[in-house]
Amino acid sequence: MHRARILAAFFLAAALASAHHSFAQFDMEKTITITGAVKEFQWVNPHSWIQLMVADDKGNQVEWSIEMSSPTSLLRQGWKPKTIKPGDKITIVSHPLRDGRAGGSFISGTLEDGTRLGGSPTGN
Amino acid sequence: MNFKTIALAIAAVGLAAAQSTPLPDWTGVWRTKGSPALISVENGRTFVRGMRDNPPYNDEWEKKYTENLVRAEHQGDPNFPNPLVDTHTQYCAAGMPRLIATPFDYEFIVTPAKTWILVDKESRHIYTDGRKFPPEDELWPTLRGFSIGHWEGQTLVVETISVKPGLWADTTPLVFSDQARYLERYTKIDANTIENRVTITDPVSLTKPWTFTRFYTRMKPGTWVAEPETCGGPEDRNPIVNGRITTVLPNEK
Repeated sequence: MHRARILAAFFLAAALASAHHSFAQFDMEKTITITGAVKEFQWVNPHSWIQLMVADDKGNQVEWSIEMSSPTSLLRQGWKPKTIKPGDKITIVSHPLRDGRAGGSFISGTLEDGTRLGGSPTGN
Repeated sequence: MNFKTIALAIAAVGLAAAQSTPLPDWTGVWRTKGSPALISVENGRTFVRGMRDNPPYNDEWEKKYTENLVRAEHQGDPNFPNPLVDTHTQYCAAGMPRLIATPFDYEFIVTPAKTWILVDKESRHIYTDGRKFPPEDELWPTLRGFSIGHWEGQTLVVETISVKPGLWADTTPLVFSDQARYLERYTKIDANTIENRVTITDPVSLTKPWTFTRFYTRMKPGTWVAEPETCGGPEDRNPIVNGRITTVLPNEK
């Protein structure tokens, strides 16, 4: 199962990532954890995104944007375009946007069945 | 047969031998070994002079570098007054000397008269046909400069001049002037490793030549070279706005 390869590649992720821009819009000193349902997995160049619907404190559904690496970098870390699909429940750890909007840069994810998904958008 | 004739004959044989030396096999997809940064980080203190591995800037350029580091750290900070955005992001190209060590794929296309070094979507053109640099009045600073090279056995020696000043050499605002010259010596040291011994000279910014060595590691046979990164297209959600990197959320498109 290719998800096992993702786990194996987890610790190599930082060295494999892409880097045409800085991730300084994210607060690399902080990490946040959110859980929700995948709305869309955008496997796109230059950087891929996970769109995630997450309930806020009042129970309202908020769409989060989690930035990832380039498609080829993700592929080499074991990801595939359909590794996650709309509706999948996932818990994501990320560095949050500095301005407080609903966004982050991907650190890791855990699916409902406990499968761990690694990766990193930074590296250079 | 006099001495001069003999010497010429020996020289001719030597030249023929040198020209008939087969070019090395550098096929495959290669990656920079280790960190893509040019500056070595010791104890995590990249930005502290003496704790980091050069470059040997003069005081004026060291001061500028140190000041710009702070601005660079905040290039995506909406609250910082004067952020400085990476030139790689601005141009959507690394340029030189950053192309020496990037996190992207490398390919070396070696032919007798020219070698191409392909990095992501950028191409370096290294002429080994014996030509000289263009005359001074036909040079202007470009992202990748002008490169000529020659072979010393199995080592490709590359000299590059006329690089646009101010391009970041890595993810920090490590820059040089347009007077900088870049000398590289590429040698395949084993089946899966190419060594590049680099010397940068710049009478404007450096107090002495800066030398360092980087390595490239060959990926497994059959690797598909990475899709080059695009910038500025409809799917790029990190545009530069008002001089800083931003993130566009779906409802803001």
